[in-house]
Amino acid sequence: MPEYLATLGEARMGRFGRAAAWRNMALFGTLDEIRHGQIQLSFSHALLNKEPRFDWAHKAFHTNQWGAIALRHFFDDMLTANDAVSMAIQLTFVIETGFTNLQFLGLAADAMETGDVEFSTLISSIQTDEARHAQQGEPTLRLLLEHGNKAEAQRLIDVMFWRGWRVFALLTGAAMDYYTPLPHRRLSFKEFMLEWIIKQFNDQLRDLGLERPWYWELFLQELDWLHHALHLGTWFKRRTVWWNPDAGVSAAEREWLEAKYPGWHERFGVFWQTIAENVRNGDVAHTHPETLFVVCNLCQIPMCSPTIGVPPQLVIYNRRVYTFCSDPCRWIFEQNPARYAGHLSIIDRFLAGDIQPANVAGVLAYMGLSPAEQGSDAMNCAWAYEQAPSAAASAA
Amino acid sequence: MATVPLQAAFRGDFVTLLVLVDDQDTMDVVAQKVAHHVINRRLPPESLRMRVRYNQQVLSPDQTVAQAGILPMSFVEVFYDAGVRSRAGMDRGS
Repeated sequence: MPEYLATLGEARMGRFGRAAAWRNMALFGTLDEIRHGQIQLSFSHALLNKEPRFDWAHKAFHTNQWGAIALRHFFDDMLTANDAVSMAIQLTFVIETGFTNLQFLGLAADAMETGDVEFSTLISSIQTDEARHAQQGEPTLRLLLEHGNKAEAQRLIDVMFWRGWRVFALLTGAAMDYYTPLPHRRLSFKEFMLEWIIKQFNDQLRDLGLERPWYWELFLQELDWLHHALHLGTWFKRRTVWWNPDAGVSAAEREWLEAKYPGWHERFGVFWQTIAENVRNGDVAHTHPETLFVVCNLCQIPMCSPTIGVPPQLVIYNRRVYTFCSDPCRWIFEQNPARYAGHLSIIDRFLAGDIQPANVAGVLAYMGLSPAEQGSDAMNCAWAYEQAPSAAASAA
Repeated sequence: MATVPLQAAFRGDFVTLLVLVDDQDTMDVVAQKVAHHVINRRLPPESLRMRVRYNQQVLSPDQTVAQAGILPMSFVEVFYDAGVRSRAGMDRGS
């Protein structure tokens, strides 16, 4: 469904672009995005007989599931409520050129390597479209710079790079470092980010005479922990998602994570040890939450922290208190508070009494998740019983 | 008696939680209510007393939410006090 929102965005550039060439390119972009939406829905539709939850390819954006709320907030900011110039920079330069185009290349190659020809072809087909219509961003940026609007160009990039990073960490981070079967992992998420995303993005910014976003050091620090925390959170509240998250923490996988992210075991392994112990003891109740995770009022993503105990950032605007997970999320809100202030997070809705009954069952119903749709561990928690290869070798 | 929603974190955990407490709850009770969502779920219990930190101050265990002036959606941090053993494991959470 985000592809249809991108259709609106491209159509806006097709209508309000200031040059004929731009408007023509955006028209192709509009057609591209319609096609992407259709083939992705068609692909999912064809799989319904294997897994009814493929229905969520269409359904998700029409629900109040927490991730759908976060993604709607993100895509509305970038696509449906954006002007043509900002969209050319934020959608096509930052997100498509910076993140998804390269991701799609890797995703298509991975799918082909594992023998999933249909999915690989689907992704390749989308990527080639995207590589074309993503070209709207750079010339727009150059025009802004030529006309003395570097500060605005930089602001647009800084806002959307951070927003894109949060979503990327949530979705791609877990997919690469936890959901991909261990034998098929070539790069860790961090290695992929450093080699493909960051280097390329840095080079482009330098070539254009732009600066790295002001929060760059914070962003680099988050490469080591954010997606691990978000994955743990998604798995722990797996009943609130429509897929079966793979915990990805078998003994062998934990060794891989420690090798790729030194200190992972000390920082995150302790949580999974407690969870695994509960699994082995048959205490399933303690592997689920009984309350909501607080979410950020900007990115709408759970408030994870490497240094829990640091108070969240609270901002009072028009007598309402807003909570932010980070300096950049607070900064984005403060750039244009009227743009974001009316939105209610899942926490705000719970406290307003919109979610009834005000308990776990009520939350799941509010999110549109019937018992048959709620996620469960992809491996039925078999990972909790496996022995580490190194330990097994020692025992032998 | 009034419900007070808090943004709460247990030191060592990874996420901030929505925890509903009562304005007459003491800090001992607040700590228990927060620990219920963390201890034995993601962190192992310890035989140490739990304390509550609010607004950069560690509050007295007998002080109530109302007495401490904790407002709805304030942030509190609960942690094990390494210097104080718990009484018969009463602070072991859920």
